[in-house]
Amino acid sequence: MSYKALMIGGSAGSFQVIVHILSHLPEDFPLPIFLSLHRLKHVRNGFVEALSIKSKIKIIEPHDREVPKPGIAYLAPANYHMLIGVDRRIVLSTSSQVNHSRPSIDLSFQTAADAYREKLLGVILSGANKDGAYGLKKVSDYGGFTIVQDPKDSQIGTMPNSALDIMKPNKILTKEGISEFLNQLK
Amino acid sequence: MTVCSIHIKDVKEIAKQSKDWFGIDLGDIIYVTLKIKIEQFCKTYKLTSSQNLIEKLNTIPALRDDFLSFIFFDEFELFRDPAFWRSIKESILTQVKTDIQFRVFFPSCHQGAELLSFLILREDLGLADKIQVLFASQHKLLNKVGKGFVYEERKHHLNISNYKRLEGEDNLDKYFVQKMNKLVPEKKLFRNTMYFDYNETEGAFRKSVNLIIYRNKLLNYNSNLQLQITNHLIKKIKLGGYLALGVKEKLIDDNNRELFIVFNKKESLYKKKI
Repeated sequence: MSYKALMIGGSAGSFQVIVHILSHLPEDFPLPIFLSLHRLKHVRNGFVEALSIKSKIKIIEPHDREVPKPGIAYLAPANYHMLIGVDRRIVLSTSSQVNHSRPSIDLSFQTAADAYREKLLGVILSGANKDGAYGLKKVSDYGGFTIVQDPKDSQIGTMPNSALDIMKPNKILTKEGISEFLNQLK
Repeated sequence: MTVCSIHIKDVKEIAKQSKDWFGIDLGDIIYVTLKIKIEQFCKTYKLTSSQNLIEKLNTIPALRDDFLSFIFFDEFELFRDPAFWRSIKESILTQVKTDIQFRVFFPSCHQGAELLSFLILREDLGLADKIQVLFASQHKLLNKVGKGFVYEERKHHLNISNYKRLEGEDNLDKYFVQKMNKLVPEKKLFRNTMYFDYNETEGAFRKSVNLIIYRNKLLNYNSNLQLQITNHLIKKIKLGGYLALGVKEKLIDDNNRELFIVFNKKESLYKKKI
């Protein structure tokens, strides 16, 4: 396997999908996982705990400049953009919202694509706006592997459809399909 | 959609030119953050390439102000992280009653959201006469506070929500005067404050302070500058004084960490050892 990182973007309707994916991945999953998920900006507590209930993977909210490690999921903190630096460290930013969002999925994907290029796996899930579509296209442009949750399987299909409007992903999968695909990477 | 894709050489070129345009070295900003900000600026102003951007900045001086604001200024948010402000209020400011020399410093105070939050909190506590507030900006171009401290009303709801979470009431407007669609803070908030020009790495600032609030500033800079700034600022803190960083920032250097105890880990509040 040649991938070095997995980034998952999601918004409204993605929580149960993320829980499903994380509950199916082994503790020794070989890649760092970046979770760029839209969330309430003023609620700093509880999200990690909620995601962790069924996850074998350790989930943390990173500090600025944290070095990502395989088998750990890094959840973008509330009210911060989560970027990936050229040295592949996590860089947090309080710069302006993008697509009315902070964290912005587009920014996470764009910067991770710059850092990991063809070594990045990008997954976009259910959501009610277009954030993430342009970023996932960039992952694809660099030769990374891209997965879009099947809009018919998504609670809200706007985000997957926005991605499909501007790019052709490697796979369009249901939540079970995404979990199965990622699980085979071990 | 206008998409301007900026490459490393473009960022370096713009950082280099920035010294001529502004006298400010944008090369100190961490690359990934600078890159996305430049790309967002190009998108906002419908510029299609870095050359297009450089050309416009060379020929349209007014655009340079907008560019600099775009690079350095974030959205204005009062009482960001209400739990942090509650900690400042309940754990630190309570001691002021017995310490008449209490002095608080805001370096890199460009937009003034943190400063204004503190001034309102200080007013709420009736401590304006006992707490001196110093604020500084490294460059007059970045000193929005000194230019009038006026905010758009349409974005004010967030400030009110944060204030309500902190103080349990939503009458933040008592501290503002409305002028057209802008909000101007009451002048009384600014008594016992002082502004000065100051560079965080070499400023000739001799006063020592009880508390430095420097949240979410370090994360914009490269590691070398982060270290230089923290080395410099912590010397200004009195023994037993406090340093507040952003909730996702921490002291990165072992020697600096040695000088402090973690006072509130969740809010990144450090107390200087006595």
